[in-house]
Parts: sequence; structure tokens; C-alpha cells
Amino acid sequence: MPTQVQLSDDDVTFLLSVLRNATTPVTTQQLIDALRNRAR
Amino acid sequence: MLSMEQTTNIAFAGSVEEQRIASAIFAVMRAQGRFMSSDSTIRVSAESLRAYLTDVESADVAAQLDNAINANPAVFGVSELGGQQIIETTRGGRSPRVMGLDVSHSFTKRFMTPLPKPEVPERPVRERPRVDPSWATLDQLLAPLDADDLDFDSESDPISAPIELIEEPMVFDAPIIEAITPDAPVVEEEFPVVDVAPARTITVPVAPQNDVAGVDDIDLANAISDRLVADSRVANFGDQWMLEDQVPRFSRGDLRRLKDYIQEQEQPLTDDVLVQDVLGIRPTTPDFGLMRFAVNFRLSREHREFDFVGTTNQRFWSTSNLPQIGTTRRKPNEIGSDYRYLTDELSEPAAYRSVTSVDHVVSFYEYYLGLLPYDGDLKSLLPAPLLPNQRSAVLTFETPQSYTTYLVELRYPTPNRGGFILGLDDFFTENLVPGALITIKRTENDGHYLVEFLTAGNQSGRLLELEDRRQRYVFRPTTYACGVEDSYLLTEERFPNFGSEKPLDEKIRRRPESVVAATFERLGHKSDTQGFWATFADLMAAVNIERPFSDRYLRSILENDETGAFARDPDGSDAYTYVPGTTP
Repeated sequence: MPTQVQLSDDDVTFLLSVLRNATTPVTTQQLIDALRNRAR
Repeated sequence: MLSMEQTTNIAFAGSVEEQRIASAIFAVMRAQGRFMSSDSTIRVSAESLRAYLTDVESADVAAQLDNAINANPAVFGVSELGGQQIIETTRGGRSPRVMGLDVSHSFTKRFMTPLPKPEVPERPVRERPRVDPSWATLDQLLAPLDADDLDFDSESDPISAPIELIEEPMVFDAPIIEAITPDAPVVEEEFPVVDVAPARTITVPVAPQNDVAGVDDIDLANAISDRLVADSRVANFGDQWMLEDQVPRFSRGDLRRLKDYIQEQEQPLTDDVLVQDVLGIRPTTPDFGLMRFAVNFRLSREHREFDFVGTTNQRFWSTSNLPQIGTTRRKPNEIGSDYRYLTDELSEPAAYRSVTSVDHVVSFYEYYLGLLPYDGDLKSLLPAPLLPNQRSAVLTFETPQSYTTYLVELRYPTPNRGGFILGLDDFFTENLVPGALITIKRTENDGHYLVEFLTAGNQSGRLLELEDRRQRYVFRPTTYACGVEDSYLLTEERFPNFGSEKPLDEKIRRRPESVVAATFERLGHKSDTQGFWATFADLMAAVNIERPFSDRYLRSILENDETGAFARDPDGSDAYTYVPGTTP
């Protein structure tokens, strides 16, 4: 059974910084891409 | 015309003779420039003045011209032009001054060459408040004191013990102030060096950064949603996110104008329309997307005033007192109760928007009320509710064959009521008959669908109708040009006993078994025993006159009836029998 993914505090802080720098609404897919790009 | 000569009294300098010559020269030059302005330069060559003086007076007088000029620099000026000496003056009797525009300081130049930015002195570094270093050694000072030493004896409670007052006068043995002599040697006391321990810091264990490379997009989206939805700093609507404090806010007046506009239009309106028409922001402006999100997010917080009735691509907003979309012949709650059986059928999981088109046969019940059931087929075609507590969604159904677009309302199922789509009355009445086949196709927009019917040549027949005024079923000659499913067509030849019948009483209607029993009797096929028989196709078409039945639901009633009134007919192929008097 696959374990459910949970974001860490570090991930949430990163997502908040992404939102803070955005001037228009950000889609969930854009947030996912941002998380993936950070991991690279 | 009145003319007045302007006289000028000038006190010439020099000798008397020079004053006289200067006056004569000035008079001549003034006559030369009699039409000039009082400060314009009058120029006469020295040669011509000498000639004038020679002619008028004598050569001796002319020889004194230079002296007279030089004696009056305030009146005459001398310049050189083309090798000739030029005498200059003005009608006002002043030596002409050099006239020119002072461009050393102009407004334009001031703007073009601004002053350099004044230098701001560097701000002094603010001293940070620091914890006194002596506190850093507190733990070392407290270390010798074991916890056992701090145990208080309950009997010698320091609080309850009486306080003894010391009445002895305090006597100082040493003088308080000693005379300080400058020659006295200063004894420097050496203090033991104490090692200062570094200040304690609390280290919070930081959750490690997730490795999201191997995580599915859907799982990651769920994880993001789980964390950010609960965060009050984040604004969310659908799959869009922003920081809450960056979302524009609306005043009470703005909200009232939005509500009034929806009520004026008498139908739900999309966020695009509201942003353009009420807030006056054009789609080409950069703020349009932001304001659209602001409308959706802020209105979603106003639960009492606004209802979200849209989809992801078509975000409709409604207010509480808008007229109902669709039929008023039956209340939506009653229709939902009629479709209650769908809640059991929909319990099987069906993916939203997993199919591209759905075919459907319109029953008499659906035709009369202008609706479609939200069954498994339509669930797999239509979108899921965008918001958690969304009860309905307004969709647009376009019929390319009649060039019309209808606003329909999808009522999502509740735990005890089935779902359905309202608002197709006009489309059905103008184009179809009960039993018609329609196809509903999805588009890229999850709120917009295409509805088509099979076109066929003109056909005629006496078809069943419910006369509204008399509330009786009648057969009327009807001409139609749509493809029909013959087993659902309610013609007089198949169901003659329905003519002049009244709709069933609401008490009978409420019980599906009673409706099936009444339908057996209306069909009127008496069996050899004391009962009725009917084919399943006839029953299916006829029971759907009074209330909705699906194929599966009707068969479950016929085969699982506890009273034993219904049974499968062993002689007929797919036929059933009914024995009256056994149904409650």
C-alpha cells in the first residue's frame, strides 16, 4: 500500500515564497512544477 | 486723433558748449527714431552727425562732437560697424544697453539637469539588545543547588511562619565615605576568571525536504491541498492559489453592486461577466485574472449572499432569491425524491468526465418536466462539484440543430435525493417527443455541452400528452421529425387505456410498487388467472409516465417484491404478471 505524501515545513515555506513572488493566481500544477524544479 | 509729443528732460554733462552740441545731436537722433520705441537703439554714424553740424553750424562745432559724446556716456554710446564709428542712443535719452535673453537659468534646463540626489548620511548601526552575559552562567551557578536542597519542609512553611521584626538599630562600623587622597596607591583587586558558557539555543528538528521526484502529480496535488487549505495565509479557489493578503478586497458597496447586478439579469452570471460589467475591468488588462480570482475567492466567503453554481471553466455565481431554472410544475425536492433510487445506482464509483458522449432516451416524465436524470452515464460525462459543499452547477447546453443555447441546472445528489438536470423544457417541447433519442457530447469547456437529436423524416401519430388545465392524459395527433426509440413511444395503439386517465394520486405515486401495480391495470392485459400481465418494454415505457424508473430499478421491483404480487411470466419472453389485492 503506497504511503501518503506529506509536505514538510520546509516545503510549505518554499510554496509560500513562490506564492509571495506571484502577482497572479498560481495553479496547483504550477506549484507541483515548482516543487519538482527545486528538487533538481 | 490726438497726438502728444513726449518731452524728455535730460541733464547733459560737460561744458556749456558740449552740452549744447549734445542736446542738438540728441534732438537730431531722436527725430531719426521718432517712430521707434523709447528703449530701441537709434544708430547714426558719427560722420553724418559731423556733416549735419557742419551744415547747420560750423566745422569748429563739428570738431567738438567727440568731446560732447564722451562727456555724456549715460546718454550716448559708441560702437564700430563696418569700420565706421556709430553713435547710439534711445528716445528715452539713455545709452542703449545690451539686450539679450537670460538663459543662464531656465525652467526647461532645470528639469533636464536635476540636482544630484542629496547624500543621506549613513544610518548608524542600531545597537541590538543583548542578554546580559551574566545570565549565560546561570545554569553553572544553579548547578551546585541540587533539587533536594530546594525541598521545603511542610512544617516550616516560610509563608505561614511568623515574621520577626528586628528592632535593633543598624550601626555602621566603617565610615561610609572615606577621604580619597590622590596619592593613595590604587590596589587593583584581581577577580577570578570565570569561563562564560555560550548562550543556550533551542534547536527545532526541521522536517527534511521531501524528495518529490518519484511522487505522482495527483498525490502531490493532494498533499499541497491538505497543507495549504488549512493555512489562513493562503487564499484558494478551485485549483488556484494566492497569498490572502495579496487578493484585492471588496467593499460592502462592491458586494451589493455584484448582487444587484445578478438579480437584475435574473440568472446566474460568470465571474468574467461580473468583473467586466460590474467592476469595469477589461479582459485585456493585466489585472483581469487577478480580479477574477478575487471575485471567486471573496464571494465564496459570503455564504449568505452568494452561491457558487459553476464549474472549473465556467464559474457561475448566483444569489439566494433568483428564479428557479427549469420547470415549476414540480418542486426540485420532489423530483429529487423521485430519483432517490439513483443514489443506490450511483454508489458504484464512476469517474467524472471519463466519457466523451452519452446517448439517452427521453421518457414521458423527463419530457413533461424538461429534465434529465443524473445517472451513472451522465455522471461519467459531467464534472464533479468544484467546491466541497456545492449543491448545484449551472451548465450551458448548446443545440447546434436549433442554434440555441440553454442554461440548465445540474442538481447534485444528496444522501437521500437523486440528482437531475433541469431547464430543458423548451428544447424538448420544440424539437422532441417522449421516446426521442438524444446525444450529449462534452466540449473542452467542462461547463458547456452539445445536445443533438437524431433527425428523421416527418412522422405522425397520436401520442400521449398530459393536459395541464384538466389534468388528464389525452392522445393528440402529433407530427415530429426526430429519431425515436419505438419501445418508449406512447402511441394510442399501444396504450389505449391511458386516454382520459387522470394522473395517479400523490399517495399512490409515492410508492413505486403501487405505480407499477397501477400501470399493470392501466395496460389492461388480463391474464388467464385473476391478474394482469405485461411485457417489460411496455411496463418500462408506461411506468415512466408517472415517475422515473430505470431499467434496473423496475426489474428489481418486479423480481424482489416481498408481497409476491409481481412475478415473471413463465410463458412470455421477458414479461411479468401482477395479481391485484396483494400490494399494500
